[in-house]
This record gives sequence, structure tokens and C-alpha cells, in this order.
Amino acid sequence: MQTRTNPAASAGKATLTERYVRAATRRLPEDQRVDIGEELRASIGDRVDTMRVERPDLTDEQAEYAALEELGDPDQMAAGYTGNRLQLIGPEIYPAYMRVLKAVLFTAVPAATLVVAIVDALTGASFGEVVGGAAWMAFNVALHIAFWVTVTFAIVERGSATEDMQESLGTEWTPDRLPDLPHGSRGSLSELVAGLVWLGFLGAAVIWQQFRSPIQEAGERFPLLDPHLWSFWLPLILVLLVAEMAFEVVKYRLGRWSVKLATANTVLGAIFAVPLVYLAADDRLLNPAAVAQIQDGWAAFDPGVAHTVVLVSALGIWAWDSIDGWRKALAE
Amino acid sequence: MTDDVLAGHLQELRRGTVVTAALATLHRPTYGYALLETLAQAGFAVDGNTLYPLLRRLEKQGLLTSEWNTEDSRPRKFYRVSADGEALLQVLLHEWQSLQRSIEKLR
Repeated sequence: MQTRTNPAASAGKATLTERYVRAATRRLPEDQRVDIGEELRASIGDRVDTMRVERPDLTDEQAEYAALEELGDPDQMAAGYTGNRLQLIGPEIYPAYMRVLKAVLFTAVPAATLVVAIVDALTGASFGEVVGGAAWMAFNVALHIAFWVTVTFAIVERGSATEDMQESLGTEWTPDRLPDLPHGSRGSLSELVAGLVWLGFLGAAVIWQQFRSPIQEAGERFPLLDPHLWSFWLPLILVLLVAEMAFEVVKYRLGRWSVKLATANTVLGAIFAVPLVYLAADDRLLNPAAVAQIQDGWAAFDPGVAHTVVLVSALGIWAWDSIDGWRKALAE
Repeated sequence: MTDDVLAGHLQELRRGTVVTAALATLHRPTYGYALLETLAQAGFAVDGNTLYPLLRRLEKQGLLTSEWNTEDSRPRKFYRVSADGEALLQVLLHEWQSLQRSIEKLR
């Protein structure tokens, strides 16, 4: 094969065709580059000639432009020659990719977020700092997971993964991977009862501490929670407890978890946890008069620690309940 | 059935026949763009960015041979079917007919 120099290229003016040929062939192996380039140049030239006959209104430049437009992306052409696949993650391993991505996201993000929130809360960060830190953590962990899982699967797609790696990523589907069927049409009755009893107990405790507080001095009872909170916060908490009870019934009647239900569960849990966390973070839950009474008998009693315990418990229960819901929803 | 659905299924059916059609055409030496036009006229619409790499692939598999023709004003690479390519074409055509018979039996 003889090498020919293209007149346009040697004249120093790169035509669209020259630019196209270079773009399509520069990644090809050295020994094919010139030959394929020559052939492409001829094919484009032939197409331009035909186009000039078909549409005499076009100038040479316009015909060349149209011919190249027709030929399409030179990277696609190059991939045709090299046999490379133009996809980051192809349909064969896409299902495994989504399975792994979801599983890692739904376990690692809540766990990391919760740990950061608890550490922040225990080291005396304000409510805003705790929420901000947790949100930032959640965002970063999610970003890293999405990136690294994608990179891993992109490597698998390019065929350079070992068999062990493919097996651990579950790219080979077997019937063992089938999810379990939901059990029965109704949810678990014991779960419903346990949920209602627990919520009822919480509601009763809020009312009990107001009227039957064990802290008394000279016949006067001191409610554990600040009585000022009855102006808004405590009624709100009681209303939310009733809402949670209604939600327990809805869960039981639906019988199976769904993404919608898990979302509602997380949101409702957050609505319930937020007032508690907010009041606890501000040291406003406990009745100062009751605290003074307790400290009379137990000087080391620190209301700050009690508030932190409430705060961490509220967050912990919310997170655990949310994760449990998502776990069940995704297992469906 | 809408025109889109019809066109989609026809295109899907013809896509698998491009190699057969190209081998059948290339018993006489032809260059890339001329083959593209011949196939298009015969109803095998195929894009240049599919056909040109395909010709190289078939050549690499030993099904086509090629030769540069520099006598014309524009140097062109002419392809023609090799003995292996001719044998493959016979197998493909045979398969084609047996598919046709099988489908007739299924109806």
C-alpha cells in the first residue's frame, strides 16, 4: 500500500473531512490508521459527489458538512473499527450494579449519618450543627458510594475483572437471588400490638408525669416535663403519637412494605423525633423545679446529660425504625 | 399497527441480513460507498459508520479480500468476497431457507 498525501492537508488548511478522518482514526492501531483514513476520505468524497448531484443548490462546503453530519460521531465510527463498546455499564451487568448500589447506599448512609449525629450531639454541638453535620455526612457518603460502585462496575464491564470479583458482585444471576415472597396478605399482628402498646405507653407517660409525678415535696407534685410545654409542644407530641398509632394500623392493613410506606415511615418518624430533639438540644424538656428537687437528694444529677440521653434515644429510635422499614421495603 | 411499529420490526429483521446481503453483492469487486448505495437501493438501509467498520471486520475474518484501485481520480479500496466468504454465504443462505421453511411449518 502506498502512502498518499492529501492536497488539502499538505496545504496547511485542515478541511472538515481531514478533521473528521483524524478524529475517527487517531485511536486506531498504527498499522491501520493510514489505510482506514484513506478509505474514509474516499467514502466521504464519494458521498459529497453524490450529494452535489442530488442537491445542486448546495455548495461544496455545505455538501461536505451534510455528508459528515450523516456519517455521525467519529468516536462511534472509531468504536466500530476497534470493537470497543460505547457504554459505561452495559445491560448484562446493569441489574447487578443497581442491586449492589442500592444495598450499599441503604446500609452505609444511614449508619454513617447516625454515628456522626450521635458523636456531634454528645460533643455538645447545637441542634443546627448536628443536623447540618449529619446531612453533609449523608451527602458525602452517598456520593462516594455511587462513585466507587460505578467505577468498579465500569471495570467489570471492560472485562478486566477476575472471576472472584464478578462472583462477589453478583453479576452472574442465579435463582438463589430471588427475593422472598411477602408472608400473608396482612402484616404481623404481634408487630401491630407491640407498636400500639409502646406508643400508648409513651402517651400515658406524658400525661402521668403531669398528674402523678413521683417527685413531690410537702404534698406538692413537680411534673418531670416543663409545664410551660403544654402551651404547644406536649399537645403536639400527643397528636403525633396518635398519628403514629394510626400509621401502625395502616402498616398492618397494607400487610407489605413498599418504598412509599418506608418513605412515609421515615418522614413521620422524623416529624415525631424533631420536636423531642429540638427541645432536648435546647435543654427545655425537663421542669427546672423538678430538676432542683432531684438535685436536693442527688447533687450529681445533670439535666444536660438527661437531655442528651433523650436526644440520642429519639434519633436512634427514628433511625432504627426507618432503616428497618427500608430493609423490609427493599426485601419485598 | 402503527407505521413506527412496522418500520421498527422490519428494520430489526433486516439488520441481521446485512452481512448476507454484503457477501452476496461482493462477488464483484466494489468499494465502500458504492456498496452502501447498492444495499440502500435493495432495501438494506445501513449507515456508513456501521458498514465501513463491518467491511474491515469481514476482511479480518478472511471473508473478504481487498485491493486499492488507484487508477481512478480518487483512490478507492475495492472489496470482494473470498473463498471462505463464498462458503459462508452458502451456509447463511441455506440457513435462511431453512428458517423460512420452519416458519411456514409453524403457521
